[in-house]
Amino acid sequence: MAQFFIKRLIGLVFVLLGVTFITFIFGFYAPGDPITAMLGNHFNLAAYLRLKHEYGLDLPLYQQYYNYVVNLLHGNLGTSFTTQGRAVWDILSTGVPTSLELGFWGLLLQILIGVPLGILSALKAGTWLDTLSMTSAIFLFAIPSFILATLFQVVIVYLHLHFGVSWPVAGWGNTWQYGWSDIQFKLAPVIIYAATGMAYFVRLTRTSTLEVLRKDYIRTARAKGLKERVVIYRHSLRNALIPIITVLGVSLGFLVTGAFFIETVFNISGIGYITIQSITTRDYPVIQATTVLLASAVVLGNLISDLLYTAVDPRIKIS
Amino acid sequence: MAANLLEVNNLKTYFYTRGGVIKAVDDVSFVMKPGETLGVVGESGSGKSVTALSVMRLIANPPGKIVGGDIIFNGESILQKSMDDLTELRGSKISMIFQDPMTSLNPVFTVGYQIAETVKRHRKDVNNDQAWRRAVEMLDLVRIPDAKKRAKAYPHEFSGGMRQRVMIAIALACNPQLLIADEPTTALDVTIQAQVLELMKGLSQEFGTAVMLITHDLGVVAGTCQHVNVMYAGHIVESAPVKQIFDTPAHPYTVGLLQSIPRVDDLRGTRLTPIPGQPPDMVNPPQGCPYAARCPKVQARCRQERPELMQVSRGEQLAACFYPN
Repeated sequence: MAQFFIKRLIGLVFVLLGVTFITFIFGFYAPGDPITAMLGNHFNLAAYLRLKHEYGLDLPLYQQYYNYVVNLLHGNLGTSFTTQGRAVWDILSTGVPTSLELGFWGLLLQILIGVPLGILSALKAGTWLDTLSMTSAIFLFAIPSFILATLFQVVIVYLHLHFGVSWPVAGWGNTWQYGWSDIQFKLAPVIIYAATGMAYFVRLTRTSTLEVLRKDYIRTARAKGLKERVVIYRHSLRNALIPIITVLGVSLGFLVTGAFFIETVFNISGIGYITIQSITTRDYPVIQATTVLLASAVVLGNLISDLLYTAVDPRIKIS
Repeated sequence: MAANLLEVNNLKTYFYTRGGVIKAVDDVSFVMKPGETLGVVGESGSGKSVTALSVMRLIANPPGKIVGGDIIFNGESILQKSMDDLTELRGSKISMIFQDPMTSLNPVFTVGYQIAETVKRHRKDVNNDQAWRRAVEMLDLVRIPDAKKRAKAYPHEFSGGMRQRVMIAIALACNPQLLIADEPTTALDVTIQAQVLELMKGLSQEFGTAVMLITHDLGVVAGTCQHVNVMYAGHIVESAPVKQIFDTPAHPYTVGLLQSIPRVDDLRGTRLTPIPGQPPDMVNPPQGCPYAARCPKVQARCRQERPELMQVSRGEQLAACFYPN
């Protein structure tokens, strides 16, 4: 067990080296220049060269990368180019809780609705209920979240203009607090976040349940005289959950990284929003940091799903 | 004469597919006495398994459906039972083991749990500990070495033969009156086949359980069964005590089957005689005897009307043939 974790951690180091290196190269060769962007109208060559030197951007690529990795190992993510030298760590630590909150409720909703609906669909396969839930699932899955989000805002604005309805169309309220006004802010982003993923869970659960219900051991369970309820919830469900856990692992990884579109459309300052901002302003330290965050989170999510696997499927052993 | 344990009367089980209605079991009748071992023999698609699954009411619906006849177990109609009453019967009075032991056990539960679960389901007065002890006892009975420890193992830690023994343990855990074994040894190595058959035979005798043994292997039947039903294209074509099936087969199909199996005592090395042709189309069965197209003794009448199962001159032997041997 300990060996398993050590192996995984070593793996994580290599993954991080890889992703930081690749993003570094992309950043280095991408057209545009952070200092020019920073100076804007106040551009003059002396200031440009001074700043370039100050931020270490005049060094060759390998040296920049080396400095970056050394800093990273000291837990120093650097300072942002654009926000008056704010520590990147500081920026991340305001964004992560918000994104985590959005992702947590969104994913919870996806699972709490998606998995039971998928099971129901499988049990009623071929009936109108199955057709209805599958059609709505594919519909939701096909609509990008930014369309849903914008549509929501348009509807609210319309209702406001014509019926005087008042409901927030942007913002997030206080992080991890649930007063009525906070809930008003959070409801729509969470539901829209959940919609797409939920559709995926419905379809996945349905397919995997249908497959398990056809297995010989389900026939055995029936032949033993077990009640249908037991056959389904004890004998099918645990087997049907195995593929769902894989998807869950990936979803867990993306929890901290936020929802790029939803956070942008709703103006929620989570990691997704921060990432988009930093890309448009070429704020390399922030881009790097969010990339490292994403990579670590995905590796961690996979680790969790591997652990869940061993809990559900005895054929899989950690070694 | 003891009352019949199982009576199957004019059973018809059809499958409704896109290609048409498949009459997998068409007008099948037979009886089983308590403790009797009945062999059901026939080639693939002859309706053996469907007959067995019909008795358990395990036919997947759709596409399958029991459309006619009745199945009487201990004087009560199985087909008329509610789902609750039926599940009371399954695994307790009638149990079943299947062809493929590799897939018949649930991979995520220990074998001990899968036995104990059956016991708990049918014995209301048994607690978890007692059910577990019964599971270990059953594993011991089916000769799983170190049963106490192995009960905590998962199916993937067992070989095919061992898994089939676990299936037998599950099936017999509640002392059923009838055990249906659907090709229980087909998926096993030949050496293991004999062991598993011996075990099943011994235990069912010990428990006084009647066995319906479904197989395409006449050799298995010879060593195990008292009575044999030979099935062909959804019908029983011959029904007789095992000795008469082998000594004086009446139906040409039975004769053909016997000629197509190798014999150890045949030292001359004569060639086997296969049955030419193929089983009939089950969606549009031919008029007349289903075997007519392959029968070496076919007459004009055979193509016109289907022979019913009738007594041939030798006592208990029945055959569905106008011109039996």
